[in-house]
Amino acid sequence: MGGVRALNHRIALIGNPNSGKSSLFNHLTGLRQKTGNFPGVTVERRSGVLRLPDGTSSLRLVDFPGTYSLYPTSLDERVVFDVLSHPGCEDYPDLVIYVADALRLDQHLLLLSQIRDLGLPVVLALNLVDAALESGVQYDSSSLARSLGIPVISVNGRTGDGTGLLLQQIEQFYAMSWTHPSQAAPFTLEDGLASMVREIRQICPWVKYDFQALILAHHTDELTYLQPDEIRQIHEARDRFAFHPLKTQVREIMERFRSIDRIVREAKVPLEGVERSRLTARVDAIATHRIWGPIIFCVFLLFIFQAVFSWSTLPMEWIEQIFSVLGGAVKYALGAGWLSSLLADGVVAGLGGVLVFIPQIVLLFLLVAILEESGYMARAVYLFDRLLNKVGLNGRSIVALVSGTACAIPAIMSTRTITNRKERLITILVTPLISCSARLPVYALLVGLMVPAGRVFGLISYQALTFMGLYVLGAASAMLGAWIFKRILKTEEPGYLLMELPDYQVPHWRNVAYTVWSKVASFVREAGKIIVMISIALWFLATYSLPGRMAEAEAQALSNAATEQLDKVETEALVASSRLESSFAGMLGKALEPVIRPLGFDWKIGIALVTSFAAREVFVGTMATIYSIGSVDDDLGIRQKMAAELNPATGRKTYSLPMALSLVLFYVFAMQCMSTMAVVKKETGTWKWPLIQLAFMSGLAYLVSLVVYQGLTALGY
Amino acid sequence: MTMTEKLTLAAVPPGSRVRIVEVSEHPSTGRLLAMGLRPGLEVTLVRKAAFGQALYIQADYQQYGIRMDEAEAIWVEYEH
Repeated sequence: MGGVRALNHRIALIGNPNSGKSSLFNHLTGLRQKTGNFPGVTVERRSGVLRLPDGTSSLRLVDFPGTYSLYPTSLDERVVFDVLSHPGCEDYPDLVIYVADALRLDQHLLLLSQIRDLGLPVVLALNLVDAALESGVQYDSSSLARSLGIPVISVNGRTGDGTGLLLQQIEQFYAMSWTHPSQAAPFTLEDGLASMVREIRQICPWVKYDFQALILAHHTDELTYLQPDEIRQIHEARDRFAFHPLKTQVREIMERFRSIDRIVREAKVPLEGVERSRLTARVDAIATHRIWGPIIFCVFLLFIFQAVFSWSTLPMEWIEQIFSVLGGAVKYALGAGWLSSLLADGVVAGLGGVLVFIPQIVLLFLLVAILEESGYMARAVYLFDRLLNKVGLNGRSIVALVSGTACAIPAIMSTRTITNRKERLITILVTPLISCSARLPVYALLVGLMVPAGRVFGLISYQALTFMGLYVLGAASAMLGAWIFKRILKTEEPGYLLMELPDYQVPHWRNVAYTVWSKVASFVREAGKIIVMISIALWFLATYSLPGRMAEAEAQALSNAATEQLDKVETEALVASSRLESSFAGMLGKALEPVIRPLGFDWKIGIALVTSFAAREVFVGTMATIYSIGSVDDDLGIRQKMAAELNPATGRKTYSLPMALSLVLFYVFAMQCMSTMAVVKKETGTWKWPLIQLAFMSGLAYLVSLVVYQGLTALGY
Repeated sequence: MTMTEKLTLAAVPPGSRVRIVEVSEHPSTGRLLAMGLRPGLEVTLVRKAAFGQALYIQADYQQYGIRMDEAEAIWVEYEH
């Protein structure tokens, strides 16, 4: 058993989607698991440490994405194929634990028979045997083991029953290092095919099995590990033997099913008088009804919206308060100075900016995981497939778009459930256009400034109507953006709906808890780093300036305060304002002025645009500092100062209707959120997409603001 | 309808119980077969979604959601 202690022993967990694989994984590894990506692709790779009963040995268990066959139709399936067809690769397993749902054994044995023909040792974990029993389906596992030629263990991924036996089997595998009994392929190669396969095995001498050679011929151009010379020779062999990939594939699958159907029939133990549960059919009669279905879904969405929008407010306030107290404590303990300021205003504020999103992430993923686990989410996809497909989205995109009204961070993270890459990418790209809760303070300030307080027919206030208009504008631009991206982006994956609608089940708390935990952990680990770094950079820009410049501004402010006989609070506010104006951020704001002047913005807005790149709501705080308002909470104070300000050039109000409207529209469309960019980087695996997003959203914002400001000004407003 | 008439799953009315006889060439052919929608399987077309382009298919122990164009690749005959 000496070798078993090393973690370079790898076991793969493989099975069809909805086979209960993930539950079993959670049971086998517990909290000793981590989530990452497979090398080179953004396909989620969960791996964990497996402890064997002897107590000292542990192995690496890798959970592969759910797959139907070795003829991949999505990037997720491609990963399984790439690894299993290539014995030299990093993730290539010693042993495969194959999970199959006992109720759908025939369908699930297809992939197993393919994997076995690749020469991989396999243990069949027959899952949900008790649930199958309730539906009147029972198997003689010794008969199955005999005809499949592999060990068969009955397990229950939900309760963990049978995992002990499974671990014993793994232990036995390494102890005796049993090799796979050489099985004749369950399908016969026609003469021409057999010759082609022989030739490919000569071209690639590392290929040990006929089936491996056959799938190399099938996927020649997609396999990155083949040498150009090998690819050319395989192509020649294919042409010489007139290889027809689809025909061969169909024939192979049908032959496999013939042999599988016989094995399943022989192993089936007849059970009399047990009826299949009608629960799923009954629920679906309403849940997928053409009228009730969409209505029920909208109720769920409202509930999710309410939870993420309202229930998270209180814990978010706590986190903000804790970090503001912490920042104060750091300043008190270290006194004034650059280190204290860096720690308090840069690091602690940055950390607070990361952790403040956790309540929303937890709530959204709790609800999404429950919908997903219960089987309901697949129905939502079925219901809205047609509608959303027109704009390049997916039924699951709705969850992201609706939670985007609270916050784009958890919304973008929720797109992992969309298996089609293109639809997922489009959802990620347009979600930040939905007006999130961080835009609310900005909208509130500016709408209050430009829209009078009256009501339409004494009922709905003009301000509420304006708010609604801004939200509608955000949603409409997201749809339009999706429609445009659908036409621009290329995809290698064919679009399809075809999916299983799994039986309804009570969500298992363990799986829900692991989903929530892994989302929070990966957000803090990956996006958190970027957010803290940008936060420190922005702190630096707002706190420092060229040598002597800031001291000069401060002295000037103090002397002004003395002549105007300001009190202590007013003096401090004036000093803060002058320091910000003279800082690098202030210089940037002034440098921006020529660019943003056509939108009606001055350098003060320029500074706010720079600082509020951290998060949109920072806009309000920055305006407060610039206008020397002591307290950030004094919304009315800021509004009065802004409203009273006159433009020195024209002598008219600075915040005229065209300018305020231009500004608020800029915030509807502009990216202005470093955390969103960090999460998009994390989810797409490259800086390309967040940068494209930044460019098109800023471009759109600039264009709209420009047209509105110049148009309204020309009309004489 | 006679039992010799050949039609696709997209052409049968909701509530029909049919047997799959052939899956013709389509970008999703391999996926259809691998998901168990194969010749010999008996299925019921339970309902159509609100916007008409998605079908709800019931097999013995499994339900599927499938697009109209995918259903057009599945040739079926009525049970007899």
